[in-house]
Amino acid sequence: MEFWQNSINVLVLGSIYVLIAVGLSMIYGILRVLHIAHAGIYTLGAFLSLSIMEVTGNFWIALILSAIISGFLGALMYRYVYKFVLKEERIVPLIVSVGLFITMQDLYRIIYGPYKYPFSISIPIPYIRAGNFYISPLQMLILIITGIILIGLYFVLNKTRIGVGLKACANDSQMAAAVGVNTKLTIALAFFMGSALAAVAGTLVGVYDNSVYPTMGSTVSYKAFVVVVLGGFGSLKGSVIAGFLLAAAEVFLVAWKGFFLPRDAIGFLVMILFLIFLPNGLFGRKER
Amino acid sequence: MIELQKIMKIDRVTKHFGGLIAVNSVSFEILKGELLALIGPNGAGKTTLFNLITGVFKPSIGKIFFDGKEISGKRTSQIARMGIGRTFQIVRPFGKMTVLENVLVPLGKSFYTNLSVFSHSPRENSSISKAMELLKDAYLDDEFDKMASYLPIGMQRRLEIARALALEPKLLLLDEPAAGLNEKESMQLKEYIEKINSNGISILLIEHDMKFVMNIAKRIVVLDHGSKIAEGVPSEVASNPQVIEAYLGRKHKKGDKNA
Repeated sequence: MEFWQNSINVLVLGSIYVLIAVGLSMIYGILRVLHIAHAGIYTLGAFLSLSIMEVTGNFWIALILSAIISGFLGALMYRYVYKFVLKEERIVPLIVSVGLFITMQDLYRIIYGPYKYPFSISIPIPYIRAGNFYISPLQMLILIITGIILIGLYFVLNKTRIGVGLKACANDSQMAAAVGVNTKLTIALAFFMGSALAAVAGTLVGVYDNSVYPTMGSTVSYKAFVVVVLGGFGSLKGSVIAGFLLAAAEVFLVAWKGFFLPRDAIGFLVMILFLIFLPNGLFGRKER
Repeated sequence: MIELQKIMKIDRVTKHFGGLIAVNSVSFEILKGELLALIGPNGAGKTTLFNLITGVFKPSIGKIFFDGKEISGKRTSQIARMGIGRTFQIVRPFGKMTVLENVLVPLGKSFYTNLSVFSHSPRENSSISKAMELLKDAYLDDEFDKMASYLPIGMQRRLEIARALALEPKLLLLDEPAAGLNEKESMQLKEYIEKINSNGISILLIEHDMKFVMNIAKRIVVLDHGSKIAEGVPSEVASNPQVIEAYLGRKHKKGDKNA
């Protein structure tokens, strides 16, 4: 019975991991940049939702607006920051990204102060209680939103022109340009989509934990990489599966009383094992 | 009107990288429907010229006109969409995509410029049938669902050309298409290129394989150390002493006062 409850927890936690990691993986797949500042966007999304919610009183408006604004900011980050350092050695964009992330976190601290803000909403979803387990309204919210997003993303990536364009850019962006793909627009759109998803994830976590604070992205900034490494860099399918697998490992190992490591250590332990024995991840391409 | 006969005019184009002059005031024209070869020893600036035409580099001096419009300074993807297809010296198919998908990428070129990227499906029946037609011309229709990276090099080469043709180009730039191919593959390629050319698409071809060039080209431009040293029909070029010197080195005959 505990098993079923834990499975629900896996799905909820995994959903959050997937929402964050998919955007990161998409961006890595195209630019080969480790986009640490993704976690800054995640925090931004939570704060934006909180602020917009205070003004409008409507959670859905807050969530959607926050996603759109964060998406634009992500695209601007590509257009006005990354674009200039992409030709440098790969360490340069990485350092730039870390710098962006720290700057963002400090900016939030300056604007909002070092406090935890409560973020509670009421949603018209009933408490679901079946024989062995229950699903809270917030858990249901996370599952529904993630489900919709993943189906939408699958459709966009597999059935539309942008999906083909992204795939071509991820394969070889110079070649993609040579056959007419507007690579600037395509990459900007990838940043937009990835950042919007991160903002949604940040908002959902803020609501779920009922707290939003400037450093909420700290753990996320590196844990998202665990998911991306497990799934294989640049593989979206891998990120989705790895997100749920990592959640499962965390939830079930922590639930097992004899386990001695703290929860956040599990992901890194798994990542180290993967890097040693399966460096391309579950579905990764070989690095050129 | 003479002007209308030209598909491309390269007007005193120079490109330097720091102190190195890669292309030095080169001018020539490509006529509509022509198959023009660009030859020259290694480092002559042939591929740099391709990169200048396709917008990878911007000319330091000089202008390039395509179909009457200046294209120097435009972006690579814009130039591609205007109708200049290109293949690279080293085969570069989209390896993680199927053969069919490779050709579908350029087929919807007009949809990449705005937000219709989100609404347009690349797999419309009309696109698929057009893509299959292009693959059939390249003798690749049986391989359409294979991953491009699994094909042998001869097929990858033809796939690259088919993909460039999906842009519906008026001008096709081929960078050493016969490199690394065996005799049979090379013959098949020659046939394919001639077929493309006979459909009215102008072709500019870089090639090292002289036999291949002399067989296929109607006219040849020779570059050496970034400058144009000769231009003409194959027989003229082959007997041009400057060209022979560029390829074989200067002769040191006894009594050669000019040496």
